[in-house]
Amino acid sequence: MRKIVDRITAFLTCSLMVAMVLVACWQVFTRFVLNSPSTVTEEFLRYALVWLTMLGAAYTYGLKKHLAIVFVARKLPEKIQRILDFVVEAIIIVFIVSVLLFGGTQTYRSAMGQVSSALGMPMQYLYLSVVVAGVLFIFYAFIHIFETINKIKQTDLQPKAREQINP
Amino acid sequence: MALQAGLILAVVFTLLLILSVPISFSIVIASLVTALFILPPDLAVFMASQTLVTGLDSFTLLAVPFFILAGVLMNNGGIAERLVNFAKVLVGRAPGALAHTNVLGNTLFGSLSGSAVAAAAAVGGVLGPLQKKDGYDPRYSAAVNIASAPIGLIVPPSGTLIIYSLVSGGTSVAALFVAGYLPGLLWAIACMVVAYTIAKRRNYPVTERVSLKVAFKTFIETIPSLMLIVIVIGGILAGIFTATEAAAVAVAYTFLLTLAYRTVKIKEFPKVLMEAVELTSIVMMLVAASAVMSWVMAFTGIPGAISGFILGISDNPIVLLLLLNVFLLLIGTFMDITPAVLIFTPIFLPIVTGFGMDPVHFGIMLVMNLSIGTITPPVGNALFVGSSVARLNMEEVTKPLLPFYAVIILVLMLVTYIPAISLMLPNLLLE
Amino acid sequence: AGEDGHSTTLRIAHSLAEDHPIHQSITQFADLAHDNSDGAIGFEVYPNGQLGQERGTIEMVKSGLIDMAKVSASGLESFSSSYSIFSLPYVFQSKEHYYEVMNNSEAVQEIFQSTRDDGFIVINWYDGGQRSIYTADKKVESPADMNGMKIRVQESPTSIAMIKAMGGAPTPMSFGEVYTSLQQGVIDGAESNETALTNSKHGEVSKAYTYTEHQYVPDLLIISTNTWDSLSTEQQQALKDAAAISSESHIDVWAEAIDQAILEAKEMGVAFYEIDKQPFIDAARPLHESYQSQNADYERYFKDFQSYAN
Ligand code: NA
Ligand code: NA
Repeated sequence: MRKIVDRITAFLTCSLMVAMVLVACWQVFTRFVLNSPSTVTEEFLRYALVWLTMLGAAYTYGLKKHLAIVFVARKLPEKIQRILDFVVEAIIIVFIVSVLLFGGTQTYRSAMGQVSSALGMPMQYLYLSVVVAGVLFIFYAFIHIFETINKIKQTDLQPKAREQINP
Repeated sequence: MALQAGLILAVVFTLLLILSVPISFSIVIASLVTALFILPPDLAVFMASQTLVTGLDSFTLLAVPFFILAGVLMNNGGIAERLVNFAKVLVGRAPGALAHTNVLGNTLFGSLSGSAVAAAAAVGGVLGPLQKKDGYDPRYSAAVNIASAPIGLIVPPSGTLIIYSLVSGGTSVAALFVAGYLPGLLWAIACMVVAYTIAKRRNYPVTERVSLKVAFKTFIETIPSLMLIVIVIGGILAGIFTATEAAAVAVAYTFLLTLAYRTVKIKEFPKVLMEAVELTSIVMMLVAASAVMSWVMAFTGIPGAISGFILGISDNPIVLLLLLNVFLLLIGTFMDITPAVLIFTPIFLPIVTGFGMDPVHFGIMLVMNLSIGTITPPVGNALFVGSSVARLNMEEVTKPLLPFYAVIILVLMLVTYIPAISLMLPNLLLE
Repeated sequence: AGEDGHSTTLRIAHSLAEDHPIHQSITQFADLAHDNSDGAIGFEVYPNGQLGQERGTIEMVKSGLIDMAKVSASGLESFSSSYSIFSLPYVFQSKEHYYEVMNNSEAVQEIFQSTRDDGFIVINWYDGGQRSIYTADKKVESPADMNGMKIRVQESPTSIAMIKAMGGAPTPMSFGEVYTSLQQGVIDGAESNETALTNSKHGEVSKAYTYTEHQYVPDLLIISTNTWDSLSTEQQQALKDAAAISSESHIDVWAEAIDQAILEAKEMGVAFYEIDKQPFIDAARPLHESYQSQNADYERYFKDFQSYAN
């Protein structure tokens, strides 16, 4: 299940990145070479960046790669670190549910009827990115919690072996 | 109200950071908690989610993912080695030749890849073993590598300067780019002077004299990589594209270059792309989160309260700039560049423009301060990577780094108090 | 009660600097409305886009997060297309015509109320001057003169169609990039009122300002429907009275600012050209027709606007 979600997200974000490079080059080409500037590329690029960031941020959260200050937490005893993992995950879930899911839905609803100025695209499509990211985030949050539970089980079962691997 | 709000924001934010909650989420949650003291919950979360999106809705910001992608392509593209060979030809006859090659290599490669970490790893990784073979003390070579790794953060193109342009309310990216050259050059020269002095005392060898033919061949091999600078900066100055578009052109060019060098297989491109997507999302999520924090700060009047406090200490520009430098160096010591630029620009810029400082000049000073932070303990990415490619502990390289810190701070003072170092080139070239 | 003794505090956002005439007029409005309400209503003005750019602040007003915002009429187009009439090129034939319509037209009031159910209404308009074409050094007298010239436009269908009709190649671009793009020749020109030459320093890189006067786009003060309905009738009247006075006196404030801008721009070496606008007016006519053909209301609005021309 995780693999499928990972794959789809990776595919979407990478395609978006490639498309953005091509569209930006196309923008230069239409203006400098064709002397007839494209009027929709700029808006497309701005909104593509929003989608790329939202989906990519969820994916990166799945990999636990967002920058954090860990030098305090790393000094704590292993057991406390595991408890801290839960606390951090719980705090992030509060962020996901309140801002991304609840706030995102509100923003999505309030954009009804508004259209983008160049593409004429419903602005709801832009804010949809927050809600979609919220769903992805919550998916990864649950995976993280299961992983932490597994880790705790392992530490409890073989505390010695673990210390050897990770002094 | 501003003081209470500022206190809540700072305390919650610090607490979350210590708990090791990722910085971007910490920013949003701390802002949300602060907002809840004034706004009803439904409006507070609406504000947060809406501002996450509008904070990203900027054409200028697009340059960041593009330069990140170009940088990642370059790290995988064998470009570092070619630049090192080129640098060796240029500075090979000076005592401690390989150390100077390292400084120059970091400047060139860092300028192109825009990453202090990538420079420390790629250039230091190539040169470290060679220096050891020539009898250099590994602690010395690691210190040289680390001290010069962040130069590319202010030498254009620079993603950090683009983010500064955005939060400073649209300072010209072209001007910032051109302004970064001299300070970056001074930083490189300062490192080379220290490296030279130590190398001379320890009798570190020069590299073998290369024949003119080999020198020429090395140069020819490097031209395609160096062309990237010509294309990006030249294209902007010639009015072919804007700074943002230049970033996309840089990607296209680097892509062709890696194809030509055959260093990245087509099969590996998804991996390279994914690396760029991850880096982009991390940085952009920070940008989005900071927009939420800026909103809450503006809404509660925090920036005004802070600048009132600072101006209460002194209204002498010389003293204020010194205070700002000390503060920013401290911030840079344990905070990453991007969030620091995003959080502190809106607070400090009004103060310095208040006494007539040019936003371009302040941008260079700010980014230089924070770049130094990447090589200072206790937390510094370039410091970590630079020591680990040299197989050393952070503590082992800190002492040999001291003379380098001293000269870099000296350059920082020059950049701070002599506006011309930053502003001369933009005034000259952007006419 | 609020901390300053007001029963309500209204928050107003706009994206211009504190030394801009609009900021002065909004502050004046806030002070007057405060007095008119016997101190019951307080105001907090957030300038400089501190709370976000225009589109974002409109959304915030709609949701009730903030109470009021100053926005350009063209920025409201993507929320309700009826506002696009204000950006139609040459819908106003002169400054006098523009003032007549804005102050007296029933259609204007109807448009201002038309977004009531969407979450906001317009309670006031401010003179934003005329918009004209400026280029590096070329005076433009007709669509033929503008052939192939890349002119920066705001990202709106009306503006894009307008520059096309006027003969140029419309180039949407974020405002922050315009200065360098003019300087380096990425674009050949831009269009705005005279203050762009001084406030945004475009006069340093554009030396020819031709009075094409293709648009008079008013700045509008919008208020959240929720906020408006929460006020008593007397308080609403207090706001309306303050709005009318600040709108009226803004015309003089603005005229003074424009005179000052022209003076400063001339010192920067900018030349100002008066031209016969007829070729451009003729070129814009198809846009008027296609606007009116969209629906019966728009046709009625357009006719109403034109009835104030002399
Ligand atoms: Na760089
Ligand atoms: Na540091």
